[in-house]
Amino acid sequence: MALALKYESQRLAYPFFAFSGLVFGLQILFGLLAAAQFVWPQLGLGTIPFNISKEVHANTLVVWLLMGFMGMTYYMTPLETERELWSTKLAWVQFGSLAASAVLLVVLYVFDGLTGHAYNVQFLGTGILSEGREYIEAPRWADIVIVLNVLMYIGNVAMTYLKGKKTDVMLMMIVGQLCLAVAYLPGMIATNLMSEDLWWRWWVIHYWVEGSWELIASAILCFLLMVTLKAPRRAMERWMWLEVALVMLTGLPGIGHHFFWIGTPSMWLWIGSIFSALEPVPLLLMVWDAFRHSQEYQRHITNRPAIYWTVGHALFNFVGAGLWGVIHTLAPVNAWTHGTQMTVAHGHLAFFGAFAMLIIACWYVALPSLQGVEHELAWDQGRGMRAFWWMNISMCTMTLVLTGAALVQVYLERVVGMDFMTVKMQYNWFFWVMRLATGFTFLWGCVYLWRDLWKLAPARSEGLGGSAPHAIPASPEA
Amino acid sequence: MDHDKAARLGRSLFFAGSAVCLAAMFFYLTPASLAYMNLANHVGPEGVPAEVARGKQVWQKFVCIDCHTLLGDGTQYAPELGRIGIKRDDEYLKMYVKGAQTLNPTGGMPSFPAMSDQEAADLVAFLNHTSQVNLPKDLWAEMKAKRDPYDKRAYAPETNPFYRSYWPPRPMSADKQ
Repeated sequence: MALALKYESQRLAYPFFAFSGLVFGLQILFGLLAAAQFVWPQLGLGTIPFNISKEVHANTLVVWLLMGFMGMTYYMTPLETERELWSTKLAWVQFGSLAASAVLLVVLYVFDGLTGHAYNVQFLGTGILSEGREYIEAPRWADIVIVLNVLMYIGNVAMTYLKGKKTDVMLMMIVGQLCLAVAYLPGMIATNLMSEDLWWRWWVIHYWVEGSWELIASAILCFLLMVTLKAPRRAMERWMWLEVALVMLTGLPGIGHHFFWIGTPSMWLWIGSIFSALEPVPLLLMVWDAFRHSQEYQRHITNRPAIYWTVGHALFNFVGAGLWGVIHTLAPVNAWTHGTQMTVAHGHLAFFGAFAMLIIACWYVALPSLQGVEHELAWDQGRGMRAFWWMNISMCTMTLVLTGAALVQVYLERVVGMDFMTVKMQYNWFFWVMRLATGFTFLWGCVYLWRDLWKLAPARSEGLGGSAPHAIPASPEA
Repeated sequence: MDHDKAARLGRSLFFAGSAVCLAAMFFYLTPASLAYMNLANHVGPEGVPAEVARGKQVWQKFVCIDCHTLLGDGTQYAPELGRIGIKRDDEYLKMYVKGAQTLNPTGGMPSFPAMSDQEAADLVAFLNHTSQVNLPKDLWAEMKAKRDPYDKRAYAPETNPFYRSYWPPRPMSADKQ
């Protein structure tokens, strides 16, 4: 008998996951173009210049992660609240409007590039095609659509929560979602001063990451560990509260590391340095939590890709966001590394580890039941594992390559005093070639992922789930 | 400690800790920082000059931040522009922002035929304005006249004694002179 979804409305997760997979593909393609433009700077001039490829690369990241979070919310909300979603129609409207806006935005960004920004005229206080602010390039009309969309999403989940069973995981999801909507608003504060512009921009970016996505991610991590390991809910929720409390206590003042040298008072050098140094603590706690529980309950593992991506997420959240962050967010260090490739190295591993890997773990948890495979071992888990290793090794190599480029840049540009372009095109050119190569190997890993997202393959040998471990399914203790 | 007690403690720590941090951000750190930013940017009660405000719109219209960094924030594909007003004169900058491919045909910066002369002038005014951030205005004017980006006085000690340099840091070669 095929694996069945417990609630019909869980099916909503699939269109969200499929769309997020497609946008992820688009993100990688534009990332490859941007990486190639580092090697050949004249590539795309007159059509899609670097600023457009970077703009699409960064914005599609936000969209596919958001879509992935939403899909997972719709998958887990009925299970947690033990009832169908409040309104599947509203969720479909929300999916349609967000997907349409995302596609339209990508088309408009490319159009903006093709026309040399000639038509990016003012509309509702920003450019109609692009706001022109890094990471929050979505123009004001799209900001409004996004906020309304998130409100629909919160309303739907909150109504389900209020009518259903109350769990701490769902409470955390709703708090995280509320913060998602609220933290987007400072980006709409109009200012003519660049320092203030950067100030409010970081409120959106840093507080989305630390004050919202990390909360949603902690709730999802808690749920994933309960589902994949059959770990007891009480212990998982206890950990979750401690982790999110520490994330907020360190992350909220930790915004200070974005306020170095941009025309803000020097107190931020202290605040940013101290709290940034503490930010890896909760992330390390998550690693310990994930490793300890996956060891303790490993006899229950039947879905190897899901647990690898979950534990990998905890580990690379710590390494990418924590370690690669703290090595350059202490003010005396940042005085030298500010605005260099060190930020790029950190950004790539942090977003991949903290959020991309978590969403991929969600896909692997949900896909067997969403696609109705025969039983929990009757699908080839080898593809998910190959994707895991290809993508992780590629991303780690890319991060190391970018870190190498950063060290060369800091020394030659900031210490010796050489010109930016000389360092970039003569001394660091080899690093750009290496980065492009790792981009292609990363893409190769993604191909396995997309094939699974499209359709899971049947197990190679009956009942063993391809390369699945010897596993004994057990009843959940939750 | 039993589960309920531990979870309650974690929950209280989460909500109370977040509330305290956000209260500090809203009621002290943000007002103090916004007031300081006006000083660091040399903005008086009359506000930001009109051409600088228009220049910021041009900066955003042409999505400059997705190639360049400004005050260290942005994209590390093209040079930092936070002190470009000291390094280059206005006429050269106006020509470059419109027709980069004419002046540097092998470079990666596109020309922008859609940019009007007025937009180019406003953009340069904006870049000149951001070039003054964190610098005493008279010193900036003096340096701009001398066009010496590595003038030691540009990096006068900050208010915090531990961090002696403004960004970008003083190059070692200048230290040794």
